[in-house]
Amino acid sequence: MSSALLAFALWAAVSAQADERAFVEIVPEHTTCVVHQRIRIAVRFGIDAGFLKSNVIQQFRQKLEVPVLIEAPWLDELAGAKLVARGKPANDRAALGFVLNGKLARQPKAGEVVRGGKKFLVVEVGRAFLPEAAGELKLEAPVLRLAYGTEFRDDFINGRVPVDRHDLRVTGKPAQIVVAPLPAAGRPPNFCGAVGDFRVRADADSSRVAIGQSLKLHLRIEGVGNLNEFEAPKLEFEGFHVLGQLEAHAPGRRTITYDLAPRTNVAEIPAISFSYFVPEAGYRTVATEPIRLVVTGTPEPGSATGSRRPVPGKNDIYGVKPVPDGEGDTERKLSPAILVLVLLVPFVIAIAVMVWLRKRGLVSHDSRAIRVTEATEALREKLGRNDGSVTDAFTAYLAAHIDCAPAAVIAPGLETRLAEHGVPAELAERTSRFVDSLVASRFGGDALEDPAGTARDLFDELEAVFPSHGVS
Amino acid sequence: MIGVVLVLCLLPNPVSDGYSEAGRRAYLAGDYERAHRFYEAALGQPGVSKAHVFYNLANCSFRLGRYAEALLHYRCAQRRMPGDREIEWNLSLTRQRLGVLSEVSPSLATRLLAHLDAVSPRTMLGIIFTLQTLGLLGLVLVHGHRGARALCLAASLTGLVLAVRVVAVHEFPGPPEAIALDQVSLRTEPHATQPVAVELEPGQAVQVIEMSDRWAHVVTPDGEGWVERGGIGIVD
Repeated sequence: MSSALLAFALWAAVSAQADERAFVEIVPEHTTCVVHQRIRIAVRFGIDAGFLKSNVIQQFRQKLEVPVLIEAPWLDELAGAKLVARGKPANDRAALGFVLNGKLARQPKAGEVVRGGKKFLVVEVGRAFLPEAAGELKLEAPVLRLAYGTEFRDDFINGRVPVDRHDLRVTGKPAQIVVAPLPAAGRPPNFCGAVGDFRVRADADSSRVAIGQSLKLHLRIEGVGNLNEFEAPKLEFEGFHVLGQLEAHAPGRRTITYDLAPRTNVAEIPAISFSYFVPEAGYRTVATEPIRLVVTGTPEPGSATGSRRPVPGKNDIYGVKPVPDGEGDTERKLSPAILVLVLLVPFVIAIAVMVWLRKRGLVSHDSRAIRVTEATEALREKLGRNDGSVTDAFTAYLAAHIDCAPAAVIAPGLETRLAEHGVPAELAERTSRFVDSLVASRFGGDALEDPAGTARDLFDELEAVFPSHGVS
Repeated sequence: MIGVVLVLCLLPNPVSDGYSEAGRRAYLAGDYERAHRFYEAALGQPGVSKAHVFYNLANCSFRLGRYAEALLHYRCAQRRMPGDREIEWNLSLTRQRLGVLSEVSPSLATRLLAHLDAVSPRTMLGIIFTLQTLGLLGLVLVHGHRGARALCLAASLTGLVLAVRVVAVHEFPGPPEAIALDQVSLRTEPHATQPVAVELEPGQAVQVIEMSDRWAHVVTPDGEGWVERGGIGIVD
């Protein structure tokens, strides 16, 4: 009897100690709800911040910010309810890592609370569920486990290591949620199971179609609730074939695309009526705006007809393609040798052609001759276009022939240098004067009358006296 | 000579592929499982257009309801035939079935590069050879016409740039893309006992950093980690 009392006293002491260091609890969004009502249920746990920092021991290979194990199996699978949103794991630096039902979880800190004069670090992890039937959702008590030490020593390699190890288990309280059935009274006939608060709108991808031609009608349902779980509204429009429908889901939005084809000359796509149940307010029915439509008498060529067949490019995939004989993977591999060859061969060809041309005398190998040729072509082009100043082109032409820099052409003695290169004295003198006049007019002197004409005359005369290709 | 090289580069291989034809017949008859097997066999045949075979293989997977596998094959086909509207449509429909968000529309430059990279090396070498030869010959033969010479220089430089791109693509291809073929656990370390950081959904695209026989180190929008090699398919 005395040993039983002693055991009870020890258990009470350990429990009290555990409650002072950590807690774990269930936080349901509601304690009552209706079938198919989206409900968020969370597990919240907290640890004495000082205890976490000083005593809690890492238990896994990966170092966790909060090295605790939380056991709440119903977060992954809850009997009587469908798990609809797991919540994205937080991966930012502020997120805290811990183990939830045997798997690594990361959540941001939910805050800090003060209990019994101690500051607790609080983390919350939640899931969204849809109760599938009326009754009760039983949530087993969550469990928090951790290991801690009371004495530590400094290790040269591992730093601060615990001398002793103790396990701590904290059990929260179980909870239950009462699930009521959807009321039968006032249920609209077109109710398709939507529970929550929604908005709807509709638009069409075309306002003008031919009879039998298909058009896309997009019904967009937005809001909070069992958005992706209820059946899409069934369209039964007078004067339309409904060829098929596709759905797209995004956070907070569900888009149902109907493939419609008018059978007759209808004037509009009628309003789509949508009924849903708001837990606090009861059934509601909303409708989209009718969409004006112009229907022409005959189907347009190539359009989808009124058949219910899947149409590639509209509501079905395109079919198989004939496989041409082409390249396989072996041909896709690049041989470095071939690449080098492809890059080198053009150079070899170009060099060979150059050598051949030179041997045949078709092109001069003299750099001066090339310079003369280019300067002559440039001046000829300039005179031919008759635009702007000819000074630069003319001096470059003379410089190429007398083998000096263009700037050196305007130096004294141009007349003599031209004469040395076979230009008659009178022409050399006129050319020299013309160059002087060009330079003077450029630097503010009297403007020349028709410098291009003079340059053209001198160019013709000089071309007649300079040796062929300008090579002396 | 340029003409001969071009003709040699652009001529298709005179190889016929019976598996593809058998696959097509089975597909049209609605026997998608059999068609799938034929197209898989066709993939191993030398000389067939892998792009078309991957596309057809993806169609079979789609019809069989194996959407993640279909997504993988469509991506393989798209890599070889970027801009093909049928592939793009089928891919979008597959993503819709998987509930996977579409990728952000690539920029014009990315699209151009994708088209460039899709050209087979043999054809690309033909183009490089032609540009280089015409450019260099032009520089040798044309004098006095600066515009023409600039054009020749541009052709030659374009050839060199294309050669650099070809080398970059084939020798330094970067981390390969992979598709989760089923719900796959992303673990913090390459060991089955390690905690699961996140579950990859079927069809989710990841980048592979390194791979061993059993594990692949991957990067996802939610972080990086290790997945079992068999749970993903490489977009090759």
